[in-house]
Amino acid sequence: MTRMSVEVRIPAVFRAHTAGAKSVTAEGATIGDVLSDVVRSYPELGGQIFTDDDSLHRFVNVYLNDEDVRYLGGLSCEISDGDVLAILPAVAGGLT
Amino acid sequence: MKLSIPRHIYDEMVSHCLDELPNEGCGFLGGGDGEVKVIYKLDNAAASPVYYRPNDKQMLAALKDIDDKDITLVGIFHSHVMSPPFPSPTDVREAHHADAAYVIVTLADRDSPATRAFKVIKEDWRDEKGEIEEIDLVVS
Repeated sequence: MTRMSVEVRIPAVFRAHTAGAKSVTAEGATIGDVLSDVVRSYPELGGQIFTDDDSLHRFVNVYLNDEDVRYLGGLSCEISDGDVLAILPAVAGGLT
Repeated sequence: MKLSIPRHIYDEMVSHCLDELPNEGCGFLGGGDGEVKVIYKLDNAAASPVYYRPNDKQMLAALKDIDDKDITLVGIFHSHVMSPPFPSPTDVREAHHADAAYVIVTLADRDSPATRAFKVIKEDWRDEKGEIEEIDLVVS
């Protein structure tokens, strides 16, 4: 698979782990590859978004071009050059 | 600690919540240093009277706009349609943005909505439990 270069948007709550960067560029063939590439550059981010078995933490959402990757096949979803990934801790609430 | 909201933004926030009835309304407040400058009214993708989850596309666009404007997410607001403006256990469990105030508008009395603001303090942002600390909400 071809490695693609994509922008990864970093939420404010994680920017302490990316030296303040609002977005970073990373490479990979799949979403998982790209996130692993980001973690290679910013190791502290790994413990924030992944569980011990390398799954996404349940409170971490990742979006590929505004679509939640959990509905796109998860971390194995292939990406295209110029795609934009966004990492975001969940926003939700309610009385239930 | 306080959160200052200009009157016109406060009124827009409450109106949005009223417009979303019977479901909970939600949105973001952008600004800096506890001063709200911009409101982002978001659709509640859960479309529920007891749960909110902002529309993904609108939420990401709002966050990008906040970054582009070089401001910060100072508040995340939602409404409680029948209950007091105080964080529920679900609100606390789902509070993962430590820098933002959680603003709750109660519409229990439709003719007299009331609003309070809180920080949810957690040791780790992934914790399900946290301490609730009310902050002063100033409408000016």
